[in-house]
Amino acid sequence: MASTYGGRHVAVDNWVPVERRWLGLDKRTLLPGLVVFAIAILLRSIIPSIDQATPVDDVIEAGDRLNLDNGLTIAPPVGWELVDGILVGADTVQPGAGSASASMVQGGVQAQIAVSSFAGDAGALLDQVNRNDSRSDSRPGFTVSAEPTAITTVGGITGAVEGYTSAAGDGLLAAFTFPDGRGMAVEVAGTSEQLAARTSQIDAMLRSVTLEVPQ
Amino acid sequence: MTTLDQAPGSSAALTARAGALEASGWGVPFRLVQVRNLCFWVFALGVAGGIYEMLRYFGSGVHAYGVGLGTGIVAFAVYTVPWLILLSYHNRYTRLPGKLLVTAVVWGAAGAAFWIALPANGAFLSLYGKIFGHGWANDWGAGLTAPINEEIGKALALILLIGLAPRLVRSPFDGLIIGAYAGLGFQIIEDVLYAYNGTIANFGADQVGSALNVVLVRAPSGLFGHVLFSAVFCAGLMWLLGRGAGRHRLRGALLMLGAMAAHGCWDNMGAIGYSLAGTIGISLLWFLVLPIADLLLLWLTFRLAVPQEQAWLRDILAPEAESGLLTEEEVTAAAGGWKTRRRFRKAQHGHRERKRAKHILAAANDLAQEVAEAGGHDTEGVEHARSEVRRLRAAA
Repeated sequence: MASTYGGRHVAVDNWVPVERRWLGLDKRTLLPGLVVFAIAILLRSIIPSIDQATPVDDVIEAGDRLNLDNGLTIAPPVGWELVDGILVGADTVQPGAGSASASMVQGGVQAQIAVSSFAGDAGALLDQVNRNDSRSDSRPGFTVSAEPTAITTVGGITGAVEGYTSAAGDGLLAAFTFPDGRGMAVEVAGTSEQLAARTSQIDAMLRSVTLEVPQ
Repeated sequence: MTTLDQAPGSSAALTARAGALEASGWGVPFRLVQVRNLCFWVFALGVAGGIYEMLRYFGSGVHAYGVGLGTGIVAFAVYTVPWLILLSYHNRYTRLPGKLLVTAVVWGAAGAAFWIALPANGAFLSLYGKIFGHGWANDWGAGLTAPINEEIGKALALILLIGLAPRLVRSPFDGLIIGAYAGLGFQIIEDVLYAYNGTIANFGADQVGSALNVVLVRAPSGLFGHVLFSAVFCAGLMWLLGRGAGRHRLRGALLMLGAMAAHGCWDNMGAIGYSLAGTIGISLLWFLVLPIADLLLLWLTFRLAVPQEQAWLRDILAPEAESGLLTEEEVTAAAGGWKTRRRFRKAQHGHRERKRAKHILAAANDLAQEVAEAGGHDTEGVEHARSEVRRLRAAA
């Protein structure tokens, strides 16, 4: 808005006088703009870089079991790095508290475990996960490569396991359901060579599932 | 707008009015697009980056989990409506323009939530797990992550708006309102994200049920969530920056820490509650202690921030009392809180009188708005607002 006094030009509100500009920008806006930019870059870029540069030193040892809550446990492969998940016996505020999800990596192979309530058997859960993955953009060209086979764990639980291929990499999916109404999906993803080199480790992990009713 | 003549009232009252208009910035239009303003470019970068991240995040799974995502979007869009009504009611006294508040909401949803908090939260939690172990991170990580990334991320809306509209964003009450709107944007988009994640966690089965479960939990807890925390945090930031009457930097810092502590307590409720009193402790914190403590924190911030706004509004309306258009009591009530207004209405005799008093107060606020938009001059709009007060008074 231009203000006039007696016909004489006085000011235009949004006009930035030349002596107040730096590279065409209003000098008075540099401080708040730079402060916001610097804080945002610190939080969204620098902290994640520090995280990526910090090595995972939580390597799974023989005898370690993941606590998937309410008596459900699984033995992750020895030597893999635990990215997420709580081991049995971990120091937690609520004694024996577990986590419904876990993930671990080794040499480009990633294993993810998810537990939630599910109505249906292991085959139905595997079908459900297949439906999700075949529609997901993160696994383009998802195709079940090895027909589901039954797997029985040392804890006497029967599940179903299958292989898949996709443009983003190959993998293996396993599903288990439990009498307490929960289901568990395990996905191990990598290249076919990486997976082949770890077949026995992955098989041992899947067969280690146990469910004990907490005392 | 046509300037008619000088406003009525003594020169002292008119000087005070001009001072209040200048100090509050009320009536100054808000422009977002300012090519010479670095804050505009940072805002544009953050929002564009946030929208890109948002589309990437939801886009990859929309075919598989679209029903859950859609249910979350619809449910939380409906949930937003009463929030907007509530916040709009509190955006009174020297009201902030709608465009400015939309800017805060957009920053909260895109810039703060997706551009900053999503990558930062993941990094913080991962670092905690690596340094302190996964058990510790599971217990304490969230409460020592979100208050830092999210409160600071949302408050950047306030810093940007100070840079974009320095004349408009002047008082801690402005900070409270802007913080609340930025918090609302953040909260709603985070709720949708939780509905989406909840759907994935439940294997994509019963997607409507999964999303509605999230709605059931997040809708009531949201009453003591992001809107409240950032309202307190941003009001505190205004005092810390010295953008209020008097010097209250310590008060500002304490309120900001209080908001962060309140946020941290919600996120670490399980660990804190269990440490204090076992499982009953968690319930006590959830349903009693934290809601009460957080509402008290908000109430305290509100009580500290509102007097300056009310004083400005009284000064803006004072010349109208001197000219006899309004009474002193009406000015006090129009510039007061809801209790003051109610007391004024109740003091009238008879239903019709009370109703008329209510209308006159609303008309007085309309008049103040017109005066602010006219920069304290008499315009046709101001004169019309005055004639409305006269009409209501005459309709006995």
